[in-house]
Amino acid sequence: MTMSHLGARSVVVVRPPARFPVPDFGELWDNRAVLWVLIWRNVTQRYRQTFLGPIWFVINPLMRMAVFSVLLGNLAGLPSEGVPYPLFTYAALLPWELFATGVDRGMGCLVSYHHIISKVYFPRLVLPTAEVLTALVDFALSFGILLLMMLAYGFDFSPRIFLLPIFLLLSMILALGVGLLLGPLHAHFRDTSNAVRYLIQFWFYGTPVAYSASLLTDRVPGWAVWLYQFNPMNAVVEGSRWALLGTGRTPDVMMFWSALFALLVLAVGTLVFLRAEQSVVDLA
Amino acid sequence: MTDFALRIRDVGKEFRRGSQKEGRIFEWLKGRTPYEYFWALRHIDVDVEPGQMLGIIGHNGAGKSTLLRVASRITRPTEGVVELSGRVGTLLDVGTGFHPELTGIENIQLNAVVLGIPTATIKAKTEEIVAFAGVEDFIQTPLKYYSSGMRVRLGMAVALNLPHEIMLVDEVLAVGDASFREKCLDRISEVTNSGRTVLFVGHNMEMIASTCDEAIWLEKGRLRASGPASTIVQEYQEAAVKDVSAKDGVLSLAGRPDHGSGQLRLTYVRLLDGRGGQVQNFHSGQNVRFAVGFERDPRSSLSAISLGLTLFGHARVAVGQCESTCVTSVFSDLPPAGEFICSIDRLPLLPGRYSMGVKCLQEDEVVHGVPHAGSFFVFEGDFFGTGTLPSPGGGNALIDHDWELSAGDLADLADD
Repeated sequence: MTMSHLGARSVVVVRPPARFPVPDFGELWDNRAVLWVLIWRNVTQRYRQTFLGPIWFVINPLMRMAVFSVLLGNLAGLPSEGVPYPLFTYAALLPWELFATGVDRGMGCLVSYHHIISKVYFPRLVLPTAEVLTALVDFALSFGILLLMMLAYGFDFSPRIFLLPIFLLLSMILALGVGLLLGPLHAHFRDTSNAVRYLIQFWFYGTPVAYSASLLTDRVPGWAVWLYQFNPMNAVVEGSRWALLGTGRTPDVMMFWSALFALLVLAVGTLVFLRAEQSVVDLA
Repeated sequence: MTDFALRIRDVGKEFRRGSQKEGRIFEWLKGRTPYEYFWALRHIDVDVEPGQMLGIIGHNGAGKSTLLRVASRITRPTEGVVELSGRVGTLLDVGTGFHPELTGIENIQLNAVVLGIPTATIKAKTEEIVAFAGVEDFIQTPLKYYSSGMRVRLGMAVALNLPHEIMLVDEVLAVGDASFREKCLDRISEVTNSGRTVLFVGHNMEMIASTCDEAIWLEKGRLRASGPASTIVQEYQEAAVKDVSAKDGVLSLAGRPDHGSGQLRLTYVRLLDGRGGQVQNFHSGQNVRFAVGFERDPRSSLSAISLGLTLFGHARVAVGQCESTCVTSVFSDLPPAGEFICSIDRLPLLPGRYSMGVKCLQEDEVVHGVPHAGSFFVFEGDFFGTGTLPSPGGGNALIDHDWELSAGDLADLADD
């Protein structure tokens, strides 16, 4: 179903929805310009009618870090594996936020873009992809702050930092997968977003973002540790800490399995999304 | 290069109609089946050649917009196949594909990239579009601050000026001021002349007949007829005669919105031919009469009564007015009931559907007025005595006129 550019005409065939649709990667590639425009729109639009503008990109994760540092680091005195607690949380919070924002935005796009998708055609997969990539832009800005903080605390950068993109990619794969899975549900039942908010909360506390993983793994039976570590976000958070700070879990075979699981989520999510996109416009 | 622009084969679209008033769980608990299914379109076959302009007509809910949505890939058909040869630009209702938070220029760009137009072309086209829409001063303003007129103009400008091979337009031409509408129509004919294809949904029959080559007529989701636009439009209008409220040529005014002092009530309008026989519709050039029935309040004293009959064409554009004061007729000493009769020697109206308003005045004060007094049809007739009528698209009125040939210019004529 590729559309050619000016001049040469190709025939597009529109058929009833397929039972097991597969993404048309050629068509997606042809629509990459749409992707860039949407990301640009998201980035510039979000803070258009605000006072502080893009500074919010940075304030949001910083505030959360401050809350955790005071509550958990100072008051509760949680251990932070020999790293200053603010740095310890912030390094994990950023890839987590990448995931959480990606899910939230990716899930809502069928609804928030309804007035566009009900009037022009382009492959709908572009929408959640743009949302997740927008979350990456947010991440990049906050990441600058993290680097400054590491310098301020006198942290040495290790070449492991070049492996960080792997964990970020994993975070985005999972975010896209979950967003694709939940997006159609959200379009049918608007209360999905309420339920997902709690899901994300539980997920957050089930992932060692604000605390050290050893706090849990030392006290629970082996099968629970296995389940705990199978969570792909566990791999993302622990891996990012390892790449940035040298603490956390050194990449192991468990991370590989959970990454594979994230890919499975993405595949199932894509199928669900493609099936739903064919009729979601009719919901109005 | 293919020999078709759009090919629709046995297309059907089924919709689900469900109530979503309360949470679904409550409906489920009450044991209600939440959905019923219906076919918005069924068994539709259409072929459109490149460069053709196809009109789509039918009543509200006939499936016209659904057909455009399916053809533009916005929603998938439930059955059947649509084949498109070329890029499709869609203009469904006002402000298509437009995002209220985005500025004018960003919206143009978004629309362009969705069509797969290269960046360099977009830059060049953007200026053209902005100029066409006449929104130069607002181009950096988010669309939500645009007036509805500006939104429509921008939407039309985008649809008409971006290079796509197939254009789907849904009734938007009905809005916008006359000069802009004209600009759009000119542009559409330019577009079709350049080999591009236009599918046009509309309610303005004169416009469909004059601008489209072919037309299809949808009724309750089925294809009722297809063929040359003027033929289909005529069939459609003749069928619509049955729906007009003129029962045996009498239009009752009871229950219609009215105003006035109430000393006299206009009660009905009868359509009569030249011999006074009651008819249901007229022909161009026919000798016709409108008999407006009235009842007077016997206690009232009315004198110097005048009448007005206004004729409206499509979209309630006034065609002309028959005022009794212009032709010296002012009535006094009215009986308790009777008829005012308005005669027109040669009805100067092109074929089409017309509606009328009637009013009764005493000096400048309205005694009784009924702005929507009902409608009637005018069919082809021999206005000029030559057996021909002007081609559609030039307005509703027939003008009695003459043409002659002169060898010199006007100055020479004056010298003679």
